[in-house]
Amino acid sequence: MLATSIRKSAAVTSLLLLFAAPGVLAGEESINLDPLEGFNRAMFSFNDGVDRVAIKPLTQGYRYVVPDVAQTGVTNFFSNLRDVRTLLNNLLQGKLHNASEDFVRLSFNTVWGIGGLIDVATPLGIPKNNEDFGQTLGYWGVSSGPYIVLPLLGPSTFRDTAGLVPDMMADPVRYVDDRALRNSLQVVRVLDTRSRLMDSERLISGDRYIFVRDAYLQRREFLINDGQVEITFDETDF
Amino acid sequence: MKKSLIALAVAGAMTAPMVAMADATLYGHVNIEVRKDDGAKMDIGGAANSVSRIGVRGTADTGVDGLVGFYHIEMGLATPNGATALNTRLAHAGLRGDFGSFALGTQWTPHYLWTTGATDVMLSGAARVTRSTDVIYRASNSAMYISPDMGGLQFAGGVLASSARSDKNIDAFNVAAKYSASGLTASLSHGGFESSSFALDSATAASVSYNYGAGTVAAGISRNRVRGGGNTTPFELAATYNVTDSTTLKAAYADFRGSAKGYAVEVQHNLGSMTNLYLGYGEANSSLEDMGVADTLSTGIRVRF
Repeated sequence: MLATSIRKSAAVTSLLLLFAAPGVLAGEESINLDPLEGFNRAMFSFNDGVDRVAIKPLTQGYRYVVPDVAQTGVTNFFSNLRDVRTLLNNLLQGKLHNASEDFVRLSFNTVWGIGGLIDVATPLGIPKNNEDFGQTLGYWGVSSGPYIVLPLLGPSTFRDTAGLVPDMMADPVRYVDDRALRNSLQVVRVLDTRSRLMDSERLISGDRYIFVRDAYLQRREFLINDGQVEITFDETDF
Repeated sequence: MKKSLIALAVAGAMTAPMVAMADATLYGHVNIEVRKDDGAKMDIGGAANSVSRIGVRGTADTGVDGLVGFYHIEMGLATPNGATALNTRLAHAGLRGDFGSFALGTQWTPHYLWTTGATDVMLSGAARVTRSTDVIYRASNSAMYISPDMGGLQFAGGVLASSARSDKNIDAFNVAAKYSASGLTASLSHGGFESSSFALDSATAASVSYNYGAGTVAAGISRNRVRGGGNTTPFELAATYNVTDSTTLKAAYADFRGSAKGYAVEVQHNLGSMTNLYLGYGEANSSLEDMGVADTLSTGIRVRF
């Protein structure tokens, strides 16, 4: 539950950042970051349609049928699997202390947390990190490249898209031999991910495309810099 | 928290209030782990490393200026959930003063305490795959002298003599030196095993460890002369890292002899100052498995008092 609230607060943080510094992406810079806007808007509409017709109704059913405690277990389970990816990327970024935290989290949650269903590491004071290969590339100095909306996968950048391949390789679900189980896990993961976005999407206002794009880009900036983002205020911000 | 007890019985104190008193500290821990060795069924029982124990230690005034008598008794509970398995781990008495300390009985050897123990950093049974330099931990029937700390330098020497081993008057001896300064500790120890009841003729071990603030790194090596010919040179590496104030990540590697090797990782989390949770995994290569040491997954709890 705590892990969920952390993720929610991260999403809220991104949204707050968006409101706190509307000028960061509102000028010429944001236009340069999205040269494929025509394609992106079309893909955004496609994804939005798929979500409206299929994914969101399924997710609502999932939230209705599955008890909250079980949903928390599912969220914790996939969060624990993501720690494998985070651990590898912290190693690639040379963040050995963070990597040690990831290793401890994985160990505690996998064994004492019954396969990751219970997040025992957070109450024990082991912080949760969030790293992926897109962030690693950013940490290494690779620029984000143009913003792109991927079919079904949603917002990304060229850099983050390149990072999807190593991230998939670091996904333990990929190595489940039983195909039915593997596919079931993928489906449940989609539902869990969508479920966690249900509350955040209520905050979206105005042009949904621009809102999602700017929120995504600022959150990625936030994550790559481990929260050390530079926010410039001017008089008009107050 | 240590519980200080009045060693002489309360009844005695009541009837003879002027009698000389010795202080005593009761201490110990219970360490139970869930362990799954490769090829064996799961077991919930006494920890394979850092076994459960209960002990009493203390000092007594001798009436001689600068001279203190001390004693130490410690019993181990190898399988606290099974049949009675109390065994004597320590039982010695001695004198301590400016000259250092001298004790008779069953006690830690400097060989382990100063040298091979430097790399013994784990609580769990997973540690078994990384203990290659161990030759002798404690010596019964022993006399041991330990010098005072002389600017970080200490010496120790002792002999082991038991009439049960009838072939020699002195069955074994141990001489050792240790130097500690600024977090760095280096030690050298030599054990000679005169009695034919020992499997080794001798063992010479060296270790170095360094506390770098956020943890320790340690290395140890031993040169063992096997009785009847042949030498082995096992070595061990170990490291700890404090992930948080209460969580420590540990790793160790050991080369036994020839191609037998093992490594282990362990996470220890402290709940307060006296309760430890741990989770360890040890991996033995095929040569080490041939020696009867299996891969081990272990998790447990140790509560001290």
